[in-house]
Amino acid sequence: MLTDYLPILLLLVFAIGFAAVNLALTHLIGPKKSTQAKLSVYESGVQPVGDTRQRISIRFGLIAMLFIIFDIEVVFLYPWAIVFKKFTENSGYFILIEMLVFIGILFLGYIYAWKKGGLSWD
Amino acid sequence: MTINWQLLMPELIIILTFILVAIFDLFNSIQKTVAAWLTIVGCAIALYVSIDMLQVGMEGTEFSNMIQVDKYSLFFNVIFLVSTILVVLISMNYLGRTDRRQGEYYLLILLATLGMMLMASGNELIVVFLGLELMSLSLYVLAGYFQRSMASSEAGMKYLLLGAFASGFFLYGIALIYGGAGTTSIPKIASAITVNATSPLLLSGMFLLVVGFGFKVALVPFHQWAPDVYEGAPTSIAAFISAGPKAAGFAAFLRIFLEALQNIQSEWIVVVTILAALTMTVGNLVAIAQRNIKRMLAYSSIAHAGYVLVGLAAANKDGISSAMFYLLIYCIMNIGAFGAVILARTEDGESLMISDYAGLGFKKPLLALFMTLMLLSLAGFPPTAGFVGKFYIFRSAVESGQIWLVIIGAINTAISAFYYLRVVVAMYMREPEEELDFHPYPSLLIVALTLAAIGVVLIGILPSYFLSPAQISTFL
Repeated sequence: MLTDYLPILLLLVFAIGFAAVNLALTHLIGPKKSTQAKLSVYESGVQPVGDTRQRISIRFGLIAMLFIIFDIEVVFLYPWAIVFKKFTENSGYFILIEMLVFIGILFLGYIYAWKKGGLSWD
Repeated sequence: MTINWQLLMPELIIILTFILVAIFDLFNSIQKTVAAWLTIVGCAIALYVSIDMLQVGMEGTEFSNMIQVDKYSLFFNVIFLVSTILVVLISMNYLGRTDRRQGEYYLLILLATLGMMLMASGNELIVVFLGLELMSLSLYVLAGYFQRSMASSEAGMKYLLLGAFASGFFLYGIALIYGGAGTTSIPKIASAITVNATSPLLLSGMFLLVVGFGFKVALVPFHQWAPDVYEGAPTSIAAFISAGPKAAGFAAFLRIFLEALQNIQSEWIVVVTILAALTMTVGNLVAIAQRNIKRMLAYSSIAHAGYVLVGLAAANKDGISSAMFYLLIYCIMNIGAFGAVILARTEDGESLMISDYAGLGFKKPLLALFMTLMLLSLAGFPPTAGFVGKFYIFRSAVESGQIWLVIIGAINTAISAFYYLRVVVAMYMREPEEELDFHPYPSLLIVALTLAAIGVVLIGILPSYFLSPAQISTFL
């Protein structure tokens, strides 16, 4: 059963080996002429501006977290909308009430975050 | 598609309570204790419903066999709800009336309780994991609840990092078991394992589950987080973490290992036996060296996890029922012990050094009485519940031939008496080194401690009344 995975192991070994050999070869036989421009940070062709180690306000973390929570919860609406019609044929509008309860709880969470100051910047 | 809502009544009541507390917390900023009272009322109703369902013997599965409500899960519901009610009672005075953010505290406790109930009734490894995460995430925040205190923040951070690590192990274990058995449903795993006996995937998945559970219930090689978290976290939360979540961890541990992995028992029983022996021994030996009472109780709770694990190592019907019975007793007496620690408050905060308890026996007789009772029960002295709990656990292990484990357990019980009694001796036979100015007794804390004390004595005197529900509630 484990032998089924042999191709994956071979691919893994080959991929790692390919990268390692190429890196080693360029390091060993490649010419090394370093200039100021070559040693600078690679920013996709743009002149580097400042240091990357900057302090970022913790508020971004909170906003990002709230976004993720609401974003993922809204994703649940899509599969629900797809099966909605099939379910209403079989068992009435139970599925609608179910989603209303879900959105109600979501809304409560939204108001909670709002009222507790989770959405204000200061 | 119809859903049998009656089966899910306790969980629904907790969710409803959660919503009510959240709404109340939003629109009321004056009455701070109402959130706590709502929580207690909600939990009490859920407790009543659970006991009622347990007596009627309501059983069944729901949500395409994802949730299994049976007597086993209902018995654990009783344990969780009893400990939640006790913890809320000891929290109310402890948090004081000045703290602004009390709503969150009770909301998170309710969520953690819901997670525990899901863990006990999960019939699917994914549901167990969902419950585990719901419980753990709430507990991480609760451990760091005192934002201004360095120790509390550190406790929250440590718990989060190690807990997330443990969850990773647990999830990876589930993935490997899925790879080995082709399903994550507990009964289906049980029947799948008989077919393709022991594949390496299944075995490594099983070991990872042991590690994941080991972290969550603080078994010995994975216990390092426990003392730091208990010491730093608010004392009421230390009581909470040491009680319900440990019971929930064992609820899932027992169900997964004795139902799903029943057929590879010979593989895991050795591991569990070694872990049990290690956990009891290290927990008790290190507890002797502690000077801080919260750390001492943390190591003692590690040792108690070892005693419960003996029930799993016994791997028979009596092992399960005695582990359930022991967890009920353990939750009550451990919350009681932490409650007594809260009771010993001075103007500078809590007096946590064991030396501070010197002479309390005559200065604060009620406090000393509660503390003595809880410690004697933890040590397992005969008239208390701790004794009968240990007795049944060890008896089940003897029945299944684990004589050596029982001998180690008995030696450990003797060792543990030393450090429990040291506190009692300090309270009644030592003179205080300095005059500490203790707070007057808060009334609700006394209520909680009285309830815990009644529980400990009642179970100690009438054990069969509480043991027989556990005996008819096992899943084997």
